[in-house]
Amino acid sequence: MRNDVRDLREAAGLSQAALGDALGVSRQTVNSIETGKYDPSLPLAIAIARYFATTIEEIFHVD
Amino acid sequence: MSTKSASSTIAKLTGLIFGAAGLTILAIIAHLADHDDFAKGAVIGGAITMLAIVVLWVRGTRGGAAARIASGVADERERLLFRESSADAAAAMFAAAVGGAIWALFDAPAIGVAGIVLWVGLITFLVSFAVRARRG
Repeated sequence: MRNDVRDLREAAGLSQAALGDALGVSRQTVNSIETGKYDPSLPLAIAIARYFATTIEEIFHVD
Repeated sequence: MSTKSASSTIAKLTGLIFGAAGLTILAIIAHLADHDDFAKGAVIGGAITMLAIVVLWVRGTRGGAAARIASGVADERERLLFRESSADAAAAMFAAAVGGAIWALFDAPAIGVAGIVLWVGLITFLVSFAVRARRG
């Protein structure tokens, strides 16, 4: 699944580790989500959307 | 030291003590059954495993997926990696057990069959975990 997590993170000036700390996941997990290798669970997707003050549909796109 | 880290340390020490106790009991049983080689292998393998776990604990939350799983702080992706690798190991051990059962028809030693099943499970788990972790 394609997503805009990397764009949002970089726009916020955050490192992968910083975003991971904020979401309670590892830097590697943030990287896997950004590269589309791992699709987050619904709770984590909601947490990501809330962190960037947007919706899941705005971040994650089913190709 | 916070209450949480103190209870975590107690849990880890308890795990190590019970692991060492289980290992000792296994070695004693093997020795009493005149399988000293098995006892030595169990002690050496168990000691290496426990040392590896301690190393992972020392590496802590910044030490990669294996260290975070061993420390009990894995996130959802790492728990999934662990579950899938465990499932791969279980499937491989099932296949090895079937092979071992066939081998037993030709008077294979039981301890050899059991050893192969255990080794197949361990190696499959480690390979599966490494591959899955690299793939994301």
